[in-house]
Amino acid sequence: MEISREVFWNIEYGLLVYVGLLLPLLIGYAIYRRYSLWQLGKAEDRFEQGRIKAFITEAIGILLHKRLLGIGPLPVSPRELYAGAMHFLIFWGIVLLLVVTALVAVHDHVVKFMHGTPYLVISFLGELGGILALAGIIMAGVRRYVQRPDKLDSKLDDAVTLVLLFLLIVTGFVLEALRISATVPTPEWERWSFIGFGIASVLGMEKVSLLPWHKGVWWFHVIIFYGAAIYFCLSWSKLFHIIISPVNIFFRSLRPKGALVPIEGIEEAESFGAEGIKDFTWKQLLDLDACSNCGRCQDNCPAYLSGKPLSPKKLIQDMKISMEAAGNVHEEEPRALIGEVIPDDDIWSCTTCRACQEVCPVYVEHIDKIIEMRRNLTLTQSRMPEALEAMVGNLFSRGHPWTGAQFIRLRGDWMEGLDLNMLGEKKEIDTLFWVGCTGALADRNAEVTRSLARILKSAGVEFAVIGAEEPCCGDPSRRIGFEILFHEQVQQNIETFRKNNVKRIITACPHCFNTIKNEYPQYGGEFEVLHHTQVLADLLRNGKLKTGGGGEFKRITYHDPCYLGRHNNIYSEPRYVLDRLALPDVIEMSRFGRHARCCGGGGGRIWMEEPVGTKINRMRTDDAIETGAELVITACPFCLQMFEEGIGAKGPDNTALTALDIVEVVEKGLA
Amino acid sequence: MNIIVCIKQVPDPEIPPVKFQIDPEGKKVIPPDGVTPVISVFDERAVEAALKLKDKYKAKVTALTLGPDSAKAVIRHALAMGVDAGVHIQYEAAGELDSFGTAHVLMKAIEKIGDYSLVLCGRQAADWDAGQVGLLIAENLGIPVVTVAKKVDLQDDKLRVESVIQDGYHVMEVSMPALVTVSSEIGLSRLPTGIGIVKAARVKIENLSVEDIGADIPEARCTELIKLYVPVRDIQCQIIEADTVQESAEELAVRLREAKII
Repeated sequence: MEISREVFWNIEYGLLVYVGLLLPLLIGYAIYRRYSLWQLGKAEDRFEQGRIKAFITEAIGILLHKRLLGIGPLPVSPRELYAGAMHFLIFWGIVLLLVVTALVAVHDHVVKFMHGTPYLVISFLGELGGILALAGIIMAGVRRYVQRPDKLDSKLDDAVTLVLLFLLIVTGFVLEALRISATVPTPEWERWSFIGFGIASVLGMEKVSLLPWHKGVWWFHVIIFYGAAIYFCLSWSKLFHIIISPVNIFFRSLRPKGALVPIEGIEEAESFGAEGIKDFTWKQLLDLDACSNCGRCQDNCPAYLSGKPLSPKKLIQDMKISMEAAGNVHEEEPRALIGEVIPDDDIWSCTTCRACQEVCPVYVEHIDKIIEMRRNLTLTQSRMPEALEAMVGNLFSRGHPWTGAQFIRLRGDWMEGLDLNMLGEKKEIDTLFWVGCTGALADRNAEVTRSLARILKSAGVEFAVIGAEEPCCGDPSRRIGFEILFHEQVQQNIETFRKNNVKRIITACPHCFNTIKNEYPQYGGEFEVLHHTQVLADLLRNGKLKTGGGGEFKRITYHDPCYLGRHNNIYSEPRYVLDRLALPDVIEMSRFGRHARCCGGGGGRIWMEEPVGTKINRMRTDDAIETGAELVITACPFCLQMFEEGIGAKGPDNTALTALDIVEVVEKGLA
Repeated sequence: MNIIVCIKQVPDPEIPPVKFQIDPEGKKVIPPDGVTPVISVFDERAVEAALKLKDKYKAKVTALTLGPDSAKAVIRHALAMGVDAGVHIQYEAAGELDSFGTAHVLMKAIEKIGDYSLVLCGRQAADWDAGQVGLLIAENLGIPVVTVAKKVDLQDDKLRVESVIQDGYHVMEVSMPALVTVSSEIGLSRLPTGIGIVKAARVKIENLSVEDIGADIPEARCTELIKLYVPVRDIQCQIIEADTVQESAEELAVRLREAKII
């Protein structure tokens, strides 16, 4: 007898099988219904060149589940690894099953090829697919209903999805077993269908009496399949992420990570940002459907982890409800997006640290949405926390965000006794040391600024400074949504840079660095922008700085500033610098690198009060203390302030931790 | 109703005191580097008072300033807060004028703008604190004046002004046109809004010279600054040391008694 089998052997299916051809129509209809929701949004060009190439490059990593399994630069915790493995099993299991089913269809309708070895291999792959998927589904069930992690909120759809998938796979195996049992004589090669064969051995072989059972289970299997398909398409189940996630990944942002989108036509605009759901772009709305509610963002959000009302996952899910209300999907009274669906506090709680976006498997853009709502609040509605009003008032009348008795310095004070070149005095100097408001005005940060200036001078770097006349780079205005001020500041600064022939800009502030490097090009300002960690690494690498002392600390740790790390991928330079000094190895905190917890100061938060929950900077200080380090090193003026506040709040009796900027550590460690 | 608000650009009062420098010879304040001058706080409240009236009634608010080129910034600020028009009398030597000279020029400017029912000023400028200009403008224009207002409102065709006194306030009824000087009790001034800033950029500020408005700059000042100095505060601190708190308190009491303080 030939190694093969007859497809639909015991089944008289008639024309029913062709109902399958209606499936694409059903899926198409479901997508069309959602498409009309995305169309509620505004236009946005996401069809730039290079998108297809970027998608293909990314697709390999996604098929391998790099983000979910923590392969590469973003390692995951054991709990996340479990979730990643679970998805990997379900994904590849179902892919195998679909491939096998498609091959069977080809065999039945196009060309008969399933004889001998190909038949055995395909049987085996089908079996493997079923096993993988079933294992994944069971893991999912255990996770959702036994482990119940905080980030999962289970709805009916989650249970229905799991039960339907489970039944489909199980009935598939039973069906196969019944077929094997009822076939006379039982073919030996069916051992390749090892699960089906195993169950069949239990049922007993060569039992013709099972034929009616086979027929019955077959119909059950088919009905579940179509029932599931109809349910998924009509209820827009979360399983639809199978189709929407790749689409969303295709259209993901190709901007530099740290760059926000400018408001187009800001000088003619009558309202700003997003007041309602229709003020977002179609891509921002597509994001809402792509979110599969997995909760990775929430698990990494410093605001959520410190007990603030904001959860990035909930933000997206709530916005999705708003979108559906706007598109009349539910009979629901539309509620105001800002204030009702998304409370103001949620919008102001975000530190724009990017931890959510860095882990999102489908590239949802949370920060852009928050900023659009902030723009509406600050520019159109003039509604913002009191502390921010003072900060905006300062930016507006004094050109920098700091004021008050704490800051009794003037912008140029830090230069005292340093004998520096002023910008514009010597034509040949094209390198600008951009200090930034915090580095010039806050006492503690000015020490860092002075330290960097001394090091640059001693290493023979030719640079100039703007001094007392240096304005704000625009990051604070932009991050709180006050785009109009940013719009003015950026243009003035570009003009100053151009007028003075500035080609290269060095700064100690990751926020200035990010804005000048990634956002000034939106206004035509292309400069070589370097953060001081990059400059220090270079100077050490090429021997311009000679290391020597600095061995007074026994245990050190390093805190990655969000705007240096996640927003600009600078992780290795600061670690290289520390490695070159006569210091012990860096002990990493539990959340470091791409997972580093924000200090709490980004996104304008450093100027706001933090009355709800734990203070984020104190949590980060605890992270540092947990490593047992005596010294926490950072590379950002905000982080430094936040750590010093956190250490101060602990009190000298409870911690011996000291916070320093990396440049201060380098200066101590020079020969 | 047309309202004119007179506003002045002054050195930032938030400058740390140690940075405040004067030139005693030239009797001038030396503005520190990199500190942007700002709108005088009381004048900002006057803008707020005007905008409160505009919110409630139909009004056109014009901001008026006298000063060098840089003073345009305070007009932009007022525009961003929500005033409708701006007039800048550009005069580089405005700092040399005394209150009488300033009031004369502003009076001429107000007459040039014409058609006004209310002129608002800050109760005093945050730099020299003279508190004269508002009164002198009213005198020059021959209109009634109410000073140090905490509330300005309309009642029929008259103004109802609450004017701060030492332990309360007067309520005055004033026929229009009138001039009111505004105090900080009027309430915090609003922030410039995004829309305001965008619209402010679209408004063309009317730029006039003293000749354009027909003002005669007086040759001599009516008031003369005789001496400008930073007061020297000599604080001597003594720390009373004793073995116990009781003893030191006793010693303190004795010393205070000796100094005739208690």
